[in-house]
Amino acid sequence: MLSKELVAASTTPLVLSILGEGENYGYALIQRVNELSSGQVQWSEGMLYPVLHWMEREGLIESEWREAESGHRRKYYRLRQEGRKALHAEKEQWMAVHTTLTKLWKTQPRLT
Amino acid sequence: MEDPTAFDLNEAIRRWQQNLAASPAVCADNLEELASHLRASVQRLKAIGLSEAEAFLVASRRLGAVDELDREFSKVNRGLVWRARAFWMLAGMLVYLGASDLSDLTCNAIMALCSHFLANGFVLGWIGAASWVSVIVLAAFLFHLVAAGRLIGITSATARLLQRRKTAVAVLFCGAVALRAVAAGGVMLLARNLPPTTISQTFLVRNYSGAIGGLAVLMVILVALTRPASGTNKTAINEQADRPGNR
Repeated sequence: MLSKELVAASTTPLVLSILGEGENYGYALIQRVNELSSGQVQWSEGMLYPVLHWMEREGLIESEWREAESGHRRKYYRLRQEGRKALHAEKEQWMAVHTTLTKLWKTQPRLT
Repeated sequence: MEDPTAFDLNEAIRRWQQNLAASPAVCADNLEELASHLRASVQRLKAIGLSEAEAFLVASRRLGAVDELDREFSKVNRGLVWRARAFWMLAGMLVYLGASDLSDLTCNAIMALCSHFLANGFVLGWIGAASWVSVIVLAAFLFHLVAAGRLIGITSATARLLQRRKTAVAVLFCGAVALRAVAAGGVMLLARNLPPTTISQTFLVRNYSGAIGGLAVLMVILVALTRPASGTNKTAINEQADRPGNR
């Protein structure tokens, strides 16, 4: 399990990266993070939405309501140009930390 | 016959939304998005074998408690939170204006009545101030009864009115204007009964002592409101006072 601080710090890069794969809605974002981290990254589900709204206000992502197959509406989020730039910057920073730590711990970086 | 234990997901989600809707930080768009999240979550949990009721319980638990959501949404929706606060502040001002107009009306009527028997501006002023303050106290007491739910008819009517904020504001505004107009009529009556110097003395005394009295009443109400609401605090305070070490 990740610490609270690390969960908070990694939310933006995770959301940006998943939306980098294509547009998606809130619940699916959480599912995706769960699957990829095998449950290691546990988001408190409701907290994702304020983060998404903050990112939208910052111009990183944009949203659109759309009809889902069930007939109910669903809000989809998609990356904007600003978001792509932010994702790039996040990637560099996290990779810098990652490489430093792997060098210190003398383990091979696992990129799979 | 309808099964009383049957679980209605739409109804459960509607009630869940209603709970959260009390938070000023959560707007209608947020509520719909969270509801859509609950539906998706319920659907997934049902697929792994939970009943709809169980799935809803787990899904809403995972989404987070109302106060947690309120706190997190408040961080991003600060504007909404302040709008709600400003609304209540201004509504409070309107209520105070209305109550003070009601007092003006009563006190002008009493002064107009008394001016038939005595033409002493000082005494009339004090009579006016006393009646002004007593109406404010009475209004505060009435407000307390309504808020405590003692006057059930009025409480539910007020609750209904508060849900339609625009109507509530319109009603308050019209009430305040009407009261002010009638109160002005009382002043005209006084002006007919008394010589100008007596009138000015009356109003000088009334306004100053009335304003101070009104402020004092407001302070008492404010102090009363800062006390914690539960019944246990009284015993706690008594215990603290009774403890010898505090002397």
